Amino acid sequence: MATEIGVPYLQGRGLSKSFGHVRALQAVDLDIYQHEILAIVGDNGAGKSTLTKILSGVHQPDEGELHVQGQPVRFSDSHKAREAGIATVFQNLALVDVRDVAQNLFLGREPTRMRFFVDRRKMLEDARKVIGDLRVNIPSMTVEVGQLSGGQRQSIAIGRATSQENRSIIIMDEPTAALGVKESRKVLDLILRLKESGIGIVVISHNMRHVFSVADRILVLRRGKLVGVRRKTETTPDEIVKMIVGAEIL
Amino acid sequence: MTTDMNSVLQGARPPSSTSRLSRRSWLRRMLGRREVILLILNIAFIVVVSQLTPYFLYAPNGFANFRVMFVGMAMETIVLAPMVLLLVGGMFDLSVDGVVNMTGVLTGVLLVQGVPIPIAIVSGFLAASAVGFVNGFAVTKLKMNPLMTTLGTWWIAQGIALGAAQGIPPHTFPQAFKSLGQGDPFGITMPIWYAILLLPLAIWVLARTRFGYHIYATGGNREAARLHGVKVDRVTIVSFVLVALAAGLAGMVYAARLNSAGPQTVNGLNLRVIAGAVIGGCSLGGGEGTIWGGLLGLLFMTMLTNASIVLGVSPYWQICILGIVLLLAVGADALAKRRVASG
Repeated sequence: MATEIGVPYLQGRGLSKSFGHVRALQAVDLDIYQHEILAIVGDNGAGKSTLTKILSGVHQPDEGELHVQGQPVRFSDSHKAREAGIATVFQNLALVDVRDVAQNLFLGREPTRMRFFVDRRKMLEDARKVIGDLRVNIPSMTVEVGQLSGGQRQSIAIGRATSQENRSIIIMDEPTAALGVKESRKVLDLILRLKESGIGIVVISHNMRHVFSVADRILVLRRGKLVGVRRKTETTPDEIVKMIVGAEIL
Repeated sequence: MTTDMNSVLQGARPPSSTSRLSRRSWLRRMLGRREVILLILNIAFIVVVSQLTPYFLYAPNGFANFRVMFVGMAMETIVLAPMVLLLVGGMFDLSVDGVVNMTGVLTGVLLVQGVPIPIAIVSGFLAASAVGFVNGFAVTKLKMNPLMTTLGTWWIAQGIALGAAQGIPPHTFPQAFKSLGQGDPFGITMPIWYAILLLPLAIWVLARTRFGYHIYATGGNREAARLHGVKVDRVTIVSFVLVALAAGLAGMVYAARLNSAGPQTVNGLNLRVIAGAVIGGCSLGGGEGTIWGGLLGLLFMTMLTNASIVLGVSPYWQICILGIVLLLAVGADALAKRRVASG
């Protein structure tokens, strides 16, 4: 199993973030490699979302630093993170329901002619290619995404991330939370295929079965602090659950 | 660095062909579109009313009533076009009445004092766009409520119009300025020219440009658009400024046409334009609507008012009829949305 090869693509050191009096994240370190899947787990309020939002540039850490391929970086917004090769699939998917599949796939980076005019034909062509590569069934590129199923919507959000130029890391916040059994399986298979193509993937999930079926390493957060990181081959769901809830109540 | 997706995900099949399906549902889709329904409704309206009275369409001398109606409507479409952009982007603007009146009076006062025409016009546009910028800045950066913000700037602009006119509307402008509203190059009267130029421009901006796509995305899901790098605040501010510039243009054209800039030249234009756009399929929630739809909605309202006059309906009841039509349009919309949500 290819994991932890060479230099981590993305590194966080001492990441801290407070919202008012709430210390959402305290001095968390993490390494993310290409070609592997890192799962981030933890109870509600453990800091998972805050951590991923820092990695994707939505939030800026109060303390600590990020390194991309060894170079220190600051993401002032999600655009900057994207330029550094980090794509994010947000939990709410961040789709515009009243617009069609193609427009959602290329929202904010529409193919243009002479800078101002949207090249609709190229957009549709590229959209078909992205969706075809994902091997998911979406009947038309011109259907409004509000009319699609949860799995199809998740696929479009993932397609946005995979089709991003130079994407090296994809962060997925609860990709299976809103899906049924069959659709979850499809999305998990898709995640494994993306890893095989060399992308590093960060998955946040509540579902221990899903975590153990795809992850190479598992990072546990509790109350904003890093509890530990385990290789999947060297741990058990029981141990992870104990780390999530904390030793003191056991 | 990374293997190409294609080579890894081999065997990917293109999405199954849907041409047969789409051909079968083409007619239904067309009939489901607001613009098509309104077009049919408008034509039916013309046919029915011209059966009731000849004065609506062609009597007493060849389409005179229709021509007058279209010129009046053309003036309103100057404001309608950018208002649709604003509505699609999830905002609306009540201040246009104030901006139309203010710009007319300010430009008029400068002209009467002998300021060169280009300077007077540029000053008018500057004053108008200032109001648009304040609207946009307040609702985006200061997160103020658009209803209250534009009500406030409406009153401020209206107050400036009244104050600058000092009870005597500026009048008797230079010929060159009057020609902005009174000429008829190639036999087409000026207001129609503005509509001919502005409406296709707005249709094209909204449907074909990156800015147009971003307007739909901003109105459809502001947070998602922002996360994907759409400069949503800039989209909103630019839209407000465009509405204000159009209102300023309308104010000057009204002044040029009337050779006088009354501080209450327009009254209720804002609500008429918004209502027309909503009847035409613009959602006040944003993300939906087209210029075509707005135009057909405004046309329907204009014809309704006009037909009421021609048919001798009491003015007291005319506004009542408009209100009923607006409620029916909004109600039909809500019903359709509920059907979609439950089915």
